[in-house]
Amino acid sequence: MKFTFRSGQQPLPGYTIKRGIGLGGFGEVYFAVTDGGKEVALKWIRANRDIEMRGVAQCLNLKHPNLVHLYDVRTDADGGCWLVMEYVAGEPLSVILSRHPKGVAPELAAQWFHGLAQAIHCLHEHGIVHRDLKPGNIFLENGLIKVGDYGLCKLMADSQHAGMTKDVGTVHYMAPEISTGNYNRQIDIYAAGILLYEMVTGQVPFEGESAGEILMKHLTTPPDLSRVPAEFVGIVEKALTKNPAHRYQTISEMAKEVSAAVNTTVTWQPIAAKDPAVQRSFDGVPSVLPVTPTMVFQQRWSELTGILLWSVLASAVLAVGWTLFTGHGNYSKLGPIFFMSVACSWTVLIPSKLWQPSAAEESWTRRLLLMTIGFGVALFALWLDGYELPLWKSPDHIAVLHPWQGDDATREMLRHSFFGKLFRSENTSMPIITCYLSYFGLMFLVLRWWKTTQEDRKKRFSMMPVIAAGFWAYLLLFLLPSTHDREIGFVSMVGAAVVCQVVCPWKERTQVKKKKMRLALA
Amino acid sequence: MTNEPTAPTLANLHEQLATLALWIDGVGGYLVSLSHRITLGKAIADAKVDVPLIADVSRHHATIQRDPEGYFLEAIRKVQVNGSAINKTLLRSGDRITLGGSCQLQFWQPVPVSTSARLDLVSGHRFAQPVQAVLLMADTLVIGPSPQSHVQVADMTQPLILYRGKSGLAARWAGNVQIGEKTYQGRGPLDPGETLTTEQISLALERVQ
Repeated sequence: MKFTFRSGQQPLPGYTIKRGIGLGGFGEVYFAVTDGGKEVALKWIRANRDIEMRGVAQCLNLKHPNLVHLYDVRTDADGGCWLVMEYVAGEPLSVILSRHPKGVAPELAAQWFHGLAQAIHCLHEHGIVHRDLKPGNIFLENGLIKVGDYGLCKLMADSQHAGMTKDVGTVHYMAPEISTGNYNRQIDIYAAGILLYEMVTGQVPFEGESAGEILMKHLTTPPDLSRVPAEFVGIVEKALTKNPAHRYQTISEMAKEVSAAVNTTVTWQPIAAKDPAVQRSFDGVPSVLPVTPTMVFQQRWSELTGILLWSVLASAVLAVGWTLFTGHGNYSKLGPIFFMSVACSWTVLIPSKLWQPSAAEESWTRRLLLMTIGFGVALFALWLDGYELPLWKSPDHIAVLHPWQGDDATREMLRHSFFGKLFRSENTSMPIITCYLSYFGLMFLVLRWWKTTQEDRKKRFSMMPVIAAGFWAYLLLFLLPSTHDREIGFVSMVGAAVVCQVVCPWKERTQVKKKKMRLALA
Repeated sequence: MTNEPTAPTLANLHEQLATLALWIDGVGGYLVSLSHRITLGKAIADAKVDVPLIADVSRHHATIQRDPEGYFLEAIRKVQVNGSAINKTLLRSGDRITLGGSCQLQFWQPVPVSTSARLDLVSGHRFAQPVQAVLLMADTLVIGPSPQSHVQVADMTQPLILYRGKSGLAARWAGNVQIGEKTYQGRGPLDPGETLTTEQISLALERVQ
């Protein structure tokens, strides 16, 4: 073995080469120690640099316990390209298998295959085809399989191009469709099948004098399965099918069958990066308890009860304050203002606090829901103003609901009757109930009321919602009939904007400092 | 024991370069101990231990001493050989030495004609230096293709032998051997800090602080 760099040299600043590890098709691999004492493998890329680097960039930030980690890509003073990788102290599978010319026990093979499949699964999940799976690229370190040398890997989307056949893989592990130039992740499953064959028999299925002969066997000869242990025959046969469409479609499928074939405690469970159940402590107890929707609801409900009680108090203070402040001394309004503020603020608080804070807020769904509840508030206001709801009356009076029916005399009589007043206000052509419904309905529709309750709102108390509520409440006042004390409608809506902000808890946002600030701090 | 400087004898020289790191390209890294007595213990910044271990062991856990009769292992803390606790014992090739609860080493004397020995860490622990094994060098070290070598390199066709020469370490190789900038025929001196290259193998010797 002839290495270009000697022990003690520092082709990259900070990395001292200790010894050469091996020579590959793409370059030389060295064992090096950083100034801080970290052991790394350095790969010096000599040839086919563009191809290699393009693949490496895709894999540089992959994290998986069964993958040899890539740390960095560096360029030395002479323009040479270096790949900084995790140093794996274990032996490659090629060395281990050379000590077992008849293969290893099926249980051990299944265990190794499990690790191998985890790594392939991770690559495929990220849209990467390894394309060069072979025992020389698979290491065993403290019983853990580490798949390396995925520098050759490419994005699957790119892999449809023809003419790359010479770069792909090692001939013993090369799937037949590679010769057509049209291949995908199925080639890794084929290679995994050859590896499983080799693990349990100690030999590769297709051997020959030349690369051409071996390729020909991949294309035409069925593998000799007589040496494969009975439990793996079906799996190897399916993985080594010439037609990629008839192979396992995913490595998970194959790994599941391998685990099931032997009596092992290891069952196939791919390590998903986002699964919180994987974050387990030492004794296997999940460190993160699953949060059920019920728990979330219970928590919100207890929070909500507190807020609602506070809003009653705040409304009372507001009503008293307003009456004293305006100074007209009309205490008869105190009650209605108080009850209406409570009603309006509860209308905002109850749905807002039960909504998912993180869920993407669908503004119009929320507005429409609030409007619907607003209709309820309108009916409440109507009742407070002394009107009785017709639904509570006996069926005889239902006819009155349609005052436009009947002769003129009846209509005239109805107009002056109590229900006539209810459905036709004096100053507008709208029935009274419509006035109430439209005022309160619109008030809850035009503003994004839930913003005043959010924990991450900009300020603890902001005047903007109050001003906005005041503006709209004043603008829409014309809707209310003069029989209604318009002041109550106005004050209760503005009051709700105040009360909601006062009673809802608030957390200061962790703000990203402005660039100037950051620079000044640095 | 006195602290006054002693005359530069051969023995003294070997004591001075008590520990070396041997880096063999494509094979591995080895700690070469030239001292006849080595201490095994925990790797701590200020502890002067010949074979520092990153393991749950004491600062000075055991010593191994090379005597004319063989290698004696002496326990300072809890030590077991092949499962039984010992205070002092003569090591045989293949013995398993357990230091403390879990750190396990295996002792080998693979070359019948050489008294040099090899210590492998077999419990998944690590030496403080990034090396695979410790070579306790008595007279010679054999790096060759046969299993009867201190370092087995399957690709080689003939062994490379490192030995203690008159003025330090030297290498013997049937053929041309390049050490540093010079080329030697058959044998040549190998000083720490130098690299050695033959057509079959290349290695470097480094002084360990």
